[in-house]
Amino acid sequence: MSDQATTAPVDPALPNATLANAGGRALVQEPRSALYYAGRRFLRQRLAMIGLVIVIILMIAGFGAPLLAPTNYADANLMDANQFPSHSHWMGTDTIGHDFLSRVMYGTRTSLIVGFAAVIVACLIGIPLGMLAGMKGGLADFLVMRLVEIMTAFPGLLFAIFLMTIFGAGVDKIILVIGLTSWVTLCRLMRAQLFTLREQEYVQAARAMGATELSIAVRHLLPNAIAPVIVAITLAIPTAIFAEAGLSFLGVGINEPTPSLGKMVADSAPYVRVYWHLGLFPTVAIALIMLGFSFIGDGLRDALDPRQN
Amino acid sequence: MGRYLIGRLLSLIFVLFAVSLIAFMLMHAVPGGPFAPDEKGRLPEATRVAQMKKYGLDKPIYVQYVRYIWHAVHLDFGVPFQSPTETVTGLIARTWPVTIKIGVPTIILAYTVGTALGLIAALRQNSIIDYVVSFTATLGIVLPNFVVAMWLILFFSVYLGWLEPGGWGKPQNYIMPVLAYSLAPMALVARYTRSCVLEVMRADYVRTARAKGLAENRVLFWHIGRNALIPLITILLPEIPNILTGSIFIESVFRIPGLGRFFVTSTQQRDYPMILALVLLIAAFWGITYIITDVLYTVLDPRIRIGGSAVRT
Repeated sequence: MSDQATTAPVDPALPNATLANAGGRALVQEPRSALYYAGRRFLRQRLAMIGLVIVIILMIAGFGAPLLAPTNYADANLMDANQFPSHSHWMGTDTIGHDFLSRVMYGTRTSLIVGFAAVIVACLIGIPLGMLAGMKGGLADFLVMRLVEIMTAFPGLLFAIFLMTIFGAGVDKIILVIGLTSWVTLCRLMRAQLFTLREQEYVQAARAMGATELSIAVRHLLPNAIAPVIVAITLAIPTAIFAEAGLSFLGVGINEPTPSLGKMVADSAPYVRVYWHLGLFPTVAIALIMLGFSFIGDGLRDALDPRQN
Repeated sequence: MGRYLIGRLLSLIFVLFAVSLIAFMLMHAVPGGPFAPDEKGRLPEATRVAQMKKYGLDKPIYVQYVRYIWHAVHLDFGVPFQSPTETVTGLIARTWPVTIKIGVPTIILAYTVGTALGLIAALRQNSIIDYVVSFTATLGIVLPNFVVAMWLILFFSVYLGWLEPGGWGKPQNYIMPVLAYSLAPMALVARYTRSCVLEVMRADYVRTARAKGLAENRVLFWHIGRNALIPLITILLPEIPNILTGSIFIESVFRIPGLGRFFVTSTQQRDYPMILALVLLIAAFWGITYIITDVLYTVLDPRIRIGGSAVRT
């Protein structure tokens, strides 16, 4: 692995950069930062752009629900129950007369909130632990890895269901539970990154010049380790959203009246033969959320780490 | 080799102990219990005490744990509180076969079709087939299986009216669960097959094989196929216990009476013996699969020697 600060990434589509790099100094133009090239590579990917558009639209629909949704998520009119999609209710109404479009929009909001917040919790646990294990090695590494091993051996879904029944349903609790059960990947990745990086020549050089461990960690290790971690974080968001939908689907996630797409799918199952819209719209919303974030994650991976492809 | 296997088995036993201990402590750390009064009503005090005594729940926790381990070592996993007329072993023996009956066709379908698609995509790299396979693989990996299940029901049961939306016992009941369940592993298999084959195709020994004039079929099966298999096995074998222990979601959507629903009912009803049995069953299944994977790896690839650090991850 090369130090990105000194070696501009070689991108065949950018002859100037390659030329400048090959000559050792700028012949045509100054090599720009690695971030600039990563940004250009990201923007050039069609799927990543589609993902970005999907996510932006969903975020507007979800976070804008209080302004944009036709009704509040809890407003129900029993007289209007079980209507098929129509002019007045674009996605129809559910079995107790909620406007289904509003429910799906608020459900999307719940999914997004849980997805982002749970990943933040996972980062707060996984990244420090991974850094500790990777930097210190020895006993710290041994202890962290045993913890990781036990977490891996423990069936994740069962653990999450179990924690949910202990804590009880609710948005804050599900965020905590998903965070607690999904930090392992980030921890392992961070540790593996630091293991390969800390023996690199430039780290040894910094150490020889008398840099402190802290400044090596912050100035040299973190910037070089961060790219794959960012990718993993982006890909952890759809996983967390999937976990929320799954737990709510099983009835241990989020309680009424807060709408959850997973719970809406489960609730629709008995009626789906007749009221097809109750099964269709929440599943499409879940699929779009998952696809959008996954496309962005894949695109980021290709953009930040061209060697992987 | 023998030494290595014994070491691995010992470490698996250690992990199982750790997992059972953690599960045990977690279960008991929570206020309430299987016979505690809750919103659904309360047992008469005498009955509650008798029940607690019957299942040994009145003893100190460490005594309970030692007793549990002692019985578990003798393959007695207790009586499930939610179905006290049978044993945990009996309950699992009754419901797990249903899950396996869905799991085995799922594995066969996922691995055969997935390998074929991945191979075709790799051999026709950057063709339309490749793009279609890659895109479908992304869909398969990303979409939750209950979403796929719901779409299958909407299409086959509601729109076409060909299949019942759920149920168990008839051969047609297998179609939609197996399809919905196999899409994700199939996508995974296709994706890994593709990238493994692409990597091997660029290897020097493949170029040598072509250069010395071997028939294309021989290069394909003897040089590419065998070598592409190695990473495939390590990545894909661990999926098998996942599939065979069942999907709660698939079983719930299609109303299949398998093992899955006990994951939820056991935790909700504080069914201690059943929770521990499920946790241990899955952890053991995983552990054994990982050992088999590592051993197979060394058998298939003579470059890897057991005992060194290469096998550890």
